[in-house]
Amino acid sequence: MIALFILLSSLINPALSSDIVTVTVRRMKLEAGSSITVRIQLEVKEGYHIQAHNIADEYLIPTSLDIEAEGFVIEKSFPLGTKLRLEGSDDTLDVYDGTIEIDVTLRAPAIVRGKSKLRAKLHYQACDAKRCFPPRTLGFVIPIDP
Amino acid sequence: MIGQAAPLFKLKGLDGKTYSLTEARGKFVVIHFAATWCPFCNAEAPHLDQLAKDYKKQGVQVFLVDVKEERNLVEKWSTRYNFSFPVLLDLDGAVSARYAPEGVQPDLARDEVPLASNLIIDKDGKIRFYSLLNTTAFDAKLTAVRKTLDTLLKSNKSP
Repeated sequence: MIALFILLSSLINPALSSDIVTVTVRRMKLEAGSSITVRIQLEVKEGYHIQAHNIADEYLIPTSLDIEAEGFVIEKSFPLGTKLRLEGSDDTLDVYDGTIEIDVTLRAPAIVRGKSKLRAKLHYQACDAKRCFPPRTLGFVIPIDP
Repeated sequence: MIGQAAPLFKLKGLDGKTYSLTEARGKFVVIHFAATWCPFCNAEAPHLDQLAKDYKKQGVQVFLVDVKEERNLVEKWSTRYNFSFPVLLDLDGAVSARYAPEGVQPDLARDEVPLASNLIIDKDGKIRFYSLLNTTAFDAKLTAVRKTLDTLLKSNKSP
């Protein structure tokens, strides 16, 4: 059996950031056929918020994560957002601010040959006190070492 | 931009008609820049429609200008609010960019600056009110727009 190690490392894969969100992936290992839970940490810049993952309004842009990992079984668990009341309105938003942790459970395929990469994309839409920014995508790579 | 001539535009509406600011000359015009993903625009939307209905008899023309989104998405979104006024498509953001005040929000693209803002243009085509988004003092019910419209309409009736 070929041992598979996934190194999710802030050393190998340093924290990636846009001007609003910084993504950090903690160092972990995974053997072929087994599963682990990877904790992906988002740091939302002070004064900003992004829409949460579970939001009721179909037109708003929820925070979401795409991981391209052929052969892997992937389950993602997003935290609940906090309520933000829009001043002068009865509407509330579910948002993330500060530090958010997304747990991603990865089950590796039985056999993986050679080095590979898990490409990930974080989609989000941010606002601060005076602006709302168009939806953005932050790409990052999770390196896999056999 | 207050007191300046509003940039002229000609845009297609969701109804297929072409609307221009020139053709609205002689009316007070309210313009709201929006995008379907913008939570503050969505919170204002029903209040904007109510404003359009309340002021229609007084000759106020409301336009919602959607910024850089596909027609199908905007069309679907607009059915939620059943707007009683034209929804215009600024497909490349060019009109929105011309309405961005200089030197404001330099870290945004120019066509992103006016999102969720409201303007009132008077009968001579001059900008008389411009509110950029301020989420900490959000005016979803458009009370400032209404107050300004009331003042303008009242002064317009004066001899």
